[in-house]
Amino acid sequence: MFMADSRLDERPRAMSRALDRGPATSGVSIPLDEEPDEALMALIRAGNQTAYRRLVHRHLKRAYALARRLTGNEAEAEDVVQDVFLQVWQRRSQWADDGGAKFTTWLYRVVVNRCIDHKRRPVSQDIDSVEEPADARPDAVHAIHRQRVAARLLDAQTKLTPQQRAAVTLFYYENLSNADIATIMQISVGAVESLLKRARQQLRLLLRASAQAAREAFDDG
Amino acid sequence: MTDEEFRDHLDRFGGDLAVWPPETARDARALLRRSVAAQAMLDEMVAMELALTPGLPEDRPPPGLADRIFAAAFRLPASDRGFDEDGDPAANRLM
Repeated sequence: MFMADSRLDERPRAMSRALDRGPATSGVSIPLDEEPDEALMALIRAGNQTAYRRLVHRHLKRAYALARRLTGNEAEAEDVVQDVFLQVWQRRSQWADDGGAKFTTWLYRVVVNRCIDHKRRPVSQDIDSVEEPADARPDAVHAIHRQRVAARLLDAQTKLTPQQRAAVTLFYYENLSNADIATIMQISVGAVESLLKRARQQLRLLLRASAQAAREAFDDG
Repeated sequence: MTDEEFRDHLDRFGGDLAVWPPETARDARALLRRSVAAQAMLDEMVAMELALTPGLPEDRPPPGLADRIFAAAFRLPASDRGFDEDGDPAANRLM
């Protein structure tokens, strides 16, 4: 189950996304002393518990972080991740090393799908429904505004549809390209662009509302 | 490119012009040289994305999660069901 695209392997979470989202043929970054995931999966298929432990330890942190961001809930994230990794062991005999998607692509796809299923909502909420942050004293406007922006962005993400939130998380937190996101979500690149477009529009409007609220709090003070 | 078209592309591709389609990015840079409104739109998007990127603090798995996974996995018998990609565990599809 291999794909040519290698950017789903370890990548720096740097701000210079243009470089991180380079060509799909940019090379695999697996350390020399580590066996590729697919080699571990071959051992796991034969019932090798040590290989399974290595695979879980290798991917647990990123899988959990992704699930945590998508669900916004530690308990749900733990459930999702535990279920996904259990499936890897239980269904190891069904793993087909046949040139399909690589392990990390499958892992991201399953985590995203499970989280969307957990958090499925019919439509995004209206931005007017976002509550004001509790603390808005004008004597520390600058610092509070910075906190507000970050808090509002986190809150705003919960107002997105599960699909929009997944696209935003994979793009901004996992630093994946639109093509990688399309592969994981099993949709077209155009559909990914549309999800990101609607999400950015909504987040932008929410931030404008936040800035206006901050100004009003300052003026009232 | 007009300001409105720039806004549309900005929402679609984000504030990093390096990841825009090359021709669109070239037109956008030309617009940015003459449009203060477009510059303000780009500033707003970049500011939002900078605030968005750090997001939550590093999400670390809860202590003992790996051990709980191993304990549960090695207790259970192997299944001949296929790998399940969907949120619905009943889907039972091989990848």
